[in-house]
Amino acid sequence: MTILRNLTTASVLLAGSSVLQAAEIEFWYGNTGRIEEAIQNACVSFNESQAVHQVTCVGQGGYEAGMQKAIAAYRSGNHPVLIQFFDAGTLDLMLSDAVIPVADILPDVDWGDYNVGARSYYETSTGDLFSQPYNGSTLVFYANMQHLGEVGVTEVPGTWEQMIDVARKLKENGHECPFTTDAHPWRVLEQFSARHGLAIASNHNGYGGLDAEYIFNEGPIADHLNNIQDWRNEGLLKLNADTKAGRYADAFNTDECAMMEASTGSYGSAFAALGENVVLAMAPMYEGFDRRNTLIGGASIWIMKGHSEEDIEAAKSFLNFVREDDQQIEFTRRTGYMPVTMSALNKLVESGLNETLEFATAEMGVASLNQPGTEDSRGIRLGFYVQFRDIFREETQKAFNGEQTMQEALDSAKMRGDQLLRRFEQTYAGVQLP
Amino acid sequence: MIGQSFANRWMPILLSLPQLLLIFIFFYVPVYLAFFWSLSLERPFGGGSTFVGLQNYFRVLTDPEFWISTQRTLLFMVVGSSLSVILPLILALAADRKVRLARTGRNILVWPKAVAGASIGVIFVFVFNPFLGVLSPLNDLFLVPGIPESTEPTHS
Repeated sequence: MTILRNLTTASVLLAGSSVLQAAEIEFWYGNTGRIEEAIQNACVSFNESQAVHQVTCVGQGGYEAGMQKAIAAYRSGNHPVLIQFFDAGTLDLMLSDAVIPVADILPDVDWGDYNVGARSYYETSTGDLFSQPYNGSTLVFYANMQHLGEVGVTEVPGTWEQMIDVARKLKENGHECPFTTDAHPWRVLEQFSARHGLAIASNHNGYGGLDAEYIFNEGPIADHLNNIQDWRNEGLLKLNADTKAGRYADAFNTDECAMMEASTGSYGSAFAALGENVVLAMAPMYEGFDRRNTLIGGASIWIMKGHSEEDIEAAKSFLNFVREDDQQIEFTRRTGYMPVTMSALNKLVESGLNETLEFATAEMGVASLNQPGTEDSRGIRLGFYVQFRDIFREETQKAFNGEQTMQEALDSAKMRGDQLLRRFEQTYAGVQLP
Repeated sequence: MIGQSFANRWMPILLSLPQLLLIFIFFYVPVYLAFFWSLSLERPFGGGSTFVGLQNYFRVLTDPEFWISTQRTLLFMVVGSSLSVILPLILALAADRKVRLARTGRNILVWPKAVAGASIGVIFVFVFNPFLGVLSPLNDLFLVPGIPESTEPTHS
């Protein structure tokens, strides 16, 4: 009996000590600048908030670079427990067999509290979140009301038609840069088609299976890209390289351009530079379309396979920490990213802070994500999508350069994109979409 | 015979072994693996690989983008390397002859060698900076509207 009791005591002690086992883990992220500072701040607060685990947050200098490093690290067995991946890498990662769904690791969390846009982008077909949405952004419209006021405009335009009217007025008034964008596919293709209820690829953007094909080269999406080119030729729109600042968001922040379409994540620096002159609106629609939800941009945190139980415990407690309402609100305040759970948003609204300019993106962004959706506005489930974005940029830039027409650019982007999709399908032959 | 200069016949092999091993690990193995992978579709995170024969070669060789970039590479090779040999050769010959200003010329050519290449790079990033650079007006001479821009790392 004594022996048995001793054994029991020992095992209890052992079990107890394994719960308290300290772990030092790494979290890799891609953001830079103000957002990187906010992430580092979250890490420091986590480490100070408890004494058991230690998280080291390592910046990778960019989303794409982070993804490449993660692949190399995973193959050589040096991968971190937690890694931030951006929206475009979602399907590649879901099929990688290198990650464990967060809903499996943390079954007790109320995942339904995450806003609809975030869930539909990162969840499996059965509704389980694969990764924990972290820095959630979406596309919104920025206007510098000081510039708009000079031509007697007091409201931010809500449609493309109105936007172009305002842009023409500004131009007639001698403004050199009425509207700016970088024509990145996230803005002009993905967010544009989602909120207009259009698909960029068949099978509802790939949600229906790996045999999807791109279909953006005709219809309203193609019309919009042709418009962008016409507006640019008319002097109403500037791309990165046309601006003095060299980048569209810098051009807006330095007072060069009057309006831009940009991520909610750009608000932090815009507000710091221009203060209350910056007014936001939901991204413009073409007349005759019903507004649908925009897609969640930014990134989510994934748990990678192949780590000890202690490491996973540390990862869980870090994920729980960044999900806390106050942490999300602090992150929103520092970056302009949105609270990703409804409870954090509600707490923000209850506190009345959402009325302050610092938090201007929170409600606007979440409202945009929570517009009524369709099968085509859930997200993007297309393989090698990161590479496709490069192809899209390459081809459209050639059109902006005058080397080919916009229609030729879209046709060849579709053709090259389809080849990528077929290669992805073949690479993952026999694998089911989760 | 060379072999006779070693007392032990294994000695030369032993001495060259580290180098051979390095060449084997860092050259032959990667080349072999690369060739092997070129015949398959490999999943980025591992865990699956499909043998596809010559499909990858076919894809690359029928891709117009590949031929355009090959063309540009060849052009750059011919123009770039011939210029970088011929021009310095002319300058070197001139500096070496007893032509007028040869001494001054030689000094100007030697100066930059005293500064590390990396620092020169950093200095010229400032010199040619589109907003602040002393020589930024030079950019306007070559300005083509809508020069393809680099992809920014964070878009959203």
